[in-house]
Amino acid sequence: MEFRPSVLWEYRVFLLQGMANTALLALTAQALALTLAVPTAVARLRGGAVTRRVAGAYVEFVRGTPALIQLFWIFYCIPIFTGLDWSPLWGAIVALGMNVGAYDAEAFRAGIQSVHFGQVQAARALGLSAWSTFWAIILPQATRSVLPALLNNFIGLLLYTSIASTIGVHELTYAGGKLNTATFQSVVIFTGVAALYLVLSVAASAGVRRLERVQARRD
Amino acid sequence: MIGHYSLDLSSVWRYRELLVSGLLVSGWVGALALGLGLLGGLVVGLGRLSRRRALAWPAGFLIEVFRGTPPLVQLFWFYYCLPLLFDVRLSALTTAVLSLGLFSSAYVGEIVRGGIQSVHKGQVQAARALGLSQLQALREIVLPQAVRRMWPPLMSQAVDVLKATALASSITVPELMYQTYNATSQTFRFVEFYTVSALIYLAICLPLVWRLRRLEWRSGV
Repeated sequence: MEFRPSVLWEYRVFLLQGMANTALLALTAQALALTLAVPTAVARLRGGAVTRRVAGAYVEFVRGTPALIQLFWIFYCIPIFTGLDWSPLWGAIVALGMNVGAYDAEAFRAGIQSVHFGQVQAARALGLSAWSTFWAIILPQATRSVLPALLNNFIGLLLYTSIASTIGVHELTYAGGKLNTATFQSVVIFTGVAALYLVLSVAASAGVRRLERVQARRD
Repeated sequence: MIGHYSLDLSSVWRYRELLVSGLLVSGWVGALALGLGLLGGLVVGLGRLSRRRALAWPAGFLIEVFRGTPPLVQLFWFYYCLPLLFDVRLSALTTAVLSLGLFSSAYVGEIVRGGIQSVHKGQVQAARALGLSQLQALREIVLPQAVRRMWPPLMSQAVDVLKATALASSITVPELMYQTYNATSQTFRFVEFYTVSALIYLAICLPLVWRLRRLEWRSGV
């Protein structure tokens, strides 16, 4: 078996397109995750009996099943119920966003609980409404304490976007699979693809450490 | 009826044997990978802490690589590249156990390292002063204390490995996810099969998740 590392250079555009889609998928899913996470955390802490249960069921369902089956369920079953005709990319964004949203919600729940109750009392005593107390007092403090957890979840998400290849999203792993069948340079291609993921995740975790240092200096 | 869709659970019942056989394979892959992960993780974690670079660096490399790349790509790498590089013929199942086991070793290694580092240095010094050897101090003093702190993250790792077994479907391991996919491609009953299989995974993982939460709550982590 002859190894030709040059195939990585020959197909660089194809691979970089995949890498760009991996980043796009991770960032879009992260945006969805955050929009889901805060209301879910609040619902679990302050919601009525029904909202609390619904939010709890969502989190438990995500934590108790493999991301792969969530992806298949959402991609194949949502169109059956709604008649919606969506692309694999959108299916993957929704599935991965909902997945990380549940983990982020757990982080936010702990973060919100860690804000001292005196802060709320002080804000209310100063005449802030319940809504502004949450937005101006609780959430900023909670976000600061959960930021490391959120970023770790994001790195996990970045790696888990690879499962989107199974429904045909043209991201990095999919690009690797296609190149593998086209060139049979398995060792070169999968090592190259793994190295590209490593670059992405090492860069992301360097960012996390930097942020933790900045935050520690500010405290 | 849900909207315009009528559920037909009888198709799932017809394929029950396929799903059960898949579940058994999932269980095997999960248990073996976890066993390998615990053993490998202990070695990797202790290696990472070693003062000898010949041990610490390979352990650190393994941890970085397996935590910094997607488990799905790792599975592909083992499935396609191992036979080419080392001229070995491994079944898909063995490949999955090996790949997921090493993936889990990296995480367990970090848990072991964290657990051991959380034990105060004075404990080792006291043990050494009392005449215990380095190995005895590790086995009798450090590990028992470390293990108690390692329990919650190890449980969480076990759940993660169980869920990661679903990825083995992509290298044709006939586990639950693979058989579910098979059944849907024959019956086109996506909703029924994916829902039932998700509930099966849920029934296995949730008790572990709940136990984990009680454990965390008790140990105040």
